[in-house]
Amino acid sequence: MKTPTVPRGTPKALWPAVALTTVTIAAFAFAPVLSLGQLDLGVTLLTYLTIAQAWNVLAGFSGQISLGAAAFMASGGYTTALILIHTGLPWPLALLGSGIGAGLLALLLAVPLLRLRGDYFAVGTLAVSVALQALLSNWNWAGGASGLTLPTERIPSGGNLYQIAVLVAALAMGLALYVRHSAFGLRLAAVRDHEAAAAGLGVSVYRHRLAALVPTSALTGLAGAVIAFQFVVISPDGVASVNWSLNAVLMAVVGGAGTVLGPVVGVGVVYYGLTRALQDQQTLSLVIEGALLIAIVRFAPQGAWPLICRAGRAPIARRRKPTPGADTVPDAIPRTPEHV
Amino acid sequence: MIRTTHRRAYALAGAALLAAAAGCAGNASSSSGSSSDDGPIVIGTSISLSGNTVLNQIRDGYLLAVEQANAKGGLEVGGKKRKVELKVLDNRSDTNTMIQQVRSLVLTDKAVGLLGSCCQQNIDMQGQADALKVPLVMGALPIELLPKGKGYTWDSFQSLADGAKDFFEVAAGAKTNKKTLIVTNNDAQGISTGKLWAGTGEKAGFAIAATKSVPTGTTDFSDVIKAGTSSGAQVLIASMTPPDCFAMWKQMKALAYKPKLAIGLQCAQTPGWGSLGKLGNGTLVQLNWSDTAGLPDTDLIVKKYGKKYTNLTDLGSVALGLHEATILMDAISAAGSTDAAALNKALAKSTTVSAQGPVKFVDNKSVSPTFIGQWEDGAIKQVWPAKGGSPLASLSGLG
Repeated sequence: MKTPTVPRGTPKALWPAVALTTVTIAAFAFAPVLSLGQLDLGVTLLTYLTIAQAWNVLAGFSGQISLGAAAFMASGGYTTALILIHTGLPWPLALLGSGIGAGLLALLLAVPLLRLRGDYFAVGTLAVSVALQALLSNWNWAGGASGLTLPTERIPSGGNLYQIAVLVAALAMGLALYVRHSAFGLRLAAVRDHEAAAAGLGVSVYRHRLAALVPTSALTGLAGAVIAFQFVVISPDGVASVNWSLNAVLMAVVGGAGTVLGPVVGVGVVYYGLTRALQDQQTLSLVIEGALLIAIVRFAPQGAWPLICRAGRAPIARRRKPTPGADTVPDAIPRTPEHV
Repeated sequence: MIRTTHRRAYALAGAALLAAAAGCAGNASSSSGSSSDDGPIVIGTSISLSGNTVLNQIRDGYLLAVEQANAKGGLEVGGKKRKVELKVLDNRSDTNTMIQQVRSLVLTDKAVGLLGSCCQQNIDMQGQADALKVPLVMGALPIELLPKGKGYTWDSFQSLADGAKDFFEVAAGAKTNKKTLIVTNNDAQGISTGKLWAGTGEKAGFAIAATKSVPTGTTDFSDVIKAGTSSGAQVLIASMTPPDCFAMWKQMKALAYKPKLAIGLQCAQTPGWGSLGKLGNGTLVQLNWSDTAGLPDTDLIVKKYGKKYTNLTDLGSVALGLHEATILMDAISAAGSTDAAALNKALAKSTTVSAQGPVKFVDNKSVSPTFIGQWEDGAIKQVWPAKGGSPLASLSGLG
């Protein structure tokens, strides 16, 4: 049976791709004029965007709710550190190694994890994170509980690190765009929405779940390498902390899981708007984060970005009052721009 | 219409991002008050004020030191008196948050120096100080545990070796079979502490009957307690974070493990120990400060915080904070500059005498005095050194 497809190269995918390229180039080009503080903040925001977007592709588009981002962050961070410390290889190869390492780890873990569904998959990925953190704490070659210090003279920093973070985040955004607008993404959505029906239509469920898991894990691994470059010192308590997983979920859900721009909004709101802006008031920040999550889940389960889109569409819809007899079907189609 | 809205949404998002980036670029040349010659000198700390570990007392010590300095008109830098601004951020006991806050303090707030947090976080913070090349003055990390860094971290605290030596001298005076059980967390601090105390104990004639290391957050200590009972260990050394240790003490009582002497490193040093009530009675604790030792600023600390904090560990933590901040501010005055390299040189030559006694850094470490105290009905009495202290009581809480 022929699997569902959408035509390639449609204008729908073109404009977002152009916008992404433009923003990436602009963000890349701004590096020389940003202060060290702004560059550092940029690296943090972009890293969160990468892990939130990777989670979004895995959970929002393919329906595999994961709590394992920390495992792949740790894998990426430690692979980079170990390559730099124990070999004479330059940082670009270490960065590449972090992506490959995390991808291979995902491939290995896929054997047990992809047997699990729904909540069991989430618990399985959480268990992997916790186990990896414990392993790293007791692995002396990898620094044990004290962790590892990267050779500062051989790693990128400042503007260079920011530009790497821009490229890694752009890769994550690009992957989300591809999934959103491609036939592959359509099949993933089918697997997410009704696995049995998708399988009945000839979609290989295992292959598609694997195809979502491996590249998103590789991207998270790249984010781990960026964090290792930024932090310089990595330890199981830091780069392998389960908080990475929780933040990825929080940011994607608050912004809008299953949308391309949702994680961008989520990172802005959660990290910049709450964690960073309220860093003098950590307790208040925590309370607002919790309240926001409850409000999102209760009142806007699709997240903030779809809400923004709907609010933006309202004036346009009012201007275009339907004339008698006109076709109003497009407005009634649920496939609305909030899925962008 | 859908396509139009697609384009509109992307155009808006793109424009917003570009505008934000442009806004950032426009601010690139702006600087915080501290970097100007007349503004306050910013000192920063990312400290754990919520979560697993709460260090309000150390924070109060920092504030007290800054208050004292500002009351004298501030610090003299470049021939001018400048006020000090202490920026305190709560890292919620989370390592990632701490690292991000330290970077923000230095890169955005232009902090010229950093003050430490506690324990393992201090080790993680050292990496940031070295990477950002900003001096970090810390305590709450025994000097043996400070890793060899790049010279920007300065640790003024007690020595594990001194604490172990003092404890075994106290233990030698008690009637025990000298069989010792050592239980530590499995982090870097716990493992190093375990090895050092075991070595000191053996030299002092004690037999290490069993050694156990447990992850932070352990709630079931039956295996550890079994090791204690089966080996007949009458001396217990526990180096753990607070909640774990509390659970272990309760389980020891429940399983009728009755050592004759016990010390709680880290955990019994926190005010939460008082919540154990009578169960905590008789447990020994290593102290970094005592109000009967004649240390500088004792009256100031007791007068300012004696009502808020009623036991020695809390007041000792205030003293620690006061001590660290004073060292850093004295170094700024001595350097006459906020330049990191000049400040680092001044710290190396520091001769400050503060709440924990005189400071003299050797390899970035300065040893402060050690005392052994004993919990009794929610308060701690100094039992070592004997001068100024009380006689050792039995471990009645577990008896």
